[in-house]
Amino acid sequence: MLKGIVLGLLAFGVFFVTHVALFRFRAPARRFDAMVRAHWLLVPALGVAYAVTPPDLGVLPAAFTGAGWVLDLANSIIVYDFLFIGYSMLYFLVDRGFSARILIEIERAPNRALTLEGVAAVYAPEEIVGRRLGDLADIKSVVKEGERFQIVSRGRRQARLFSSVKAFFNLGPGG
Amino acid sequence: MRGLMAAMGSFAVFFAAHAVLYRVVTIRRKLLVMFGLWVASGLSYVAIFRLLPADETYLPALLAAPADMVTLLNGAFVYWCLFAAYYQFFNMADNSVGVRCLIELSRAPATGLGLEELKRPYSFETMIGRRLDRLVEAGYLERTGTYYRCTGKGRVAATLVRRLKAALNLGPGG
Repeated sequence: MLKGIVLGLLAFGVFFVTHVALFRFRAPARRFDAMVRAHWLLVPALGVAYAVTPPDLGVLPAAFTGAGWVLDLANSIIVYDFLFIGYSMLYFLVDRGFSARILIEIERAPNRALTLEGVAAVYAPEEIVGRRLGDLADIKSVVKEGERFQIVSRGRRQARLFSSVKAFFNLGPGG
Repeated sequence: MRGLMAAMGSFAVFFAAHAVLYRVVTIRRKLLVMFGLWVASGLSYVAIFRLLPADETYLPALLAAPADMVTLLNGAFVYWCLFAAYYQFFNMADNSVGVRCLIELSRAPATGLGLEELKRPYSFETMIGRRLDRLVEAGYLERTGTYYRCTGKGRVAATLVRRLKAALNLGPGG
């Protein structure tokens, strides 16, 4: 069991280094897409690494090498995928975090204090919403016709899914 | 397999408790309460792990792992990850600006909406106001009259996020 876990952690380490290098030196236009591609490219590499390395990786205690290889490899991919999902959460918080940006703008303000109107002046809601709508157009959930945004079938399905989640959990309109 | 099955079982316990509670009670600090439920349901992880039979008694060798500490901790890690992934989805359903825009667009006429029209059902001032209130409630901001100022915790968070943005070349974002 330990071999798969160690290889999953190493694969995530390789992903992380690739991601940081890519973002620092290439600055991809569709950033999350680039991250997802780097992540998926490493899944077959993880499989190959699993196949060509010994069960104890040359260093692991024999007591922790007793798992069947199918379970161990599947677990390795699960560990790697979940680390990626967890990291994506952090990434979105850093890149798109609305509240985090508010904190930064308040800290940057001359007296380190802002009113609601002050926040809206330095971090315009139109800019926030416009960027989200642009992202939705990128993933083909909406189309932009001139200055107007129209929902398409993919977006409609997503809207239905999230509306039912909001209704089921009594979440209110939110956003 | 025992650890993975216990992780899925305990996540099911968490999800059932979460669904029932959120449907019956109106909760204000939604994500905090979810986290509390996850911790509480963690007890069921240990119970399920203990109740499940050893892999080798019913699974082929390829799918079996000894019930040792590594299997127990690996399952606990997967239980955490299932929660983290679900938490991300739930947070998106509850708070995402993009999701709210999609829902408003799905209710709009076939000609769609411009930014100004979108403001009618979805007030942008309320959008910022809600965030400010929540940041005050969570101890990241303090309010004096109409002004908001970072607390120590808020300052640490702002500095950390600003540095990570710079390290990854992300621009101001948000």
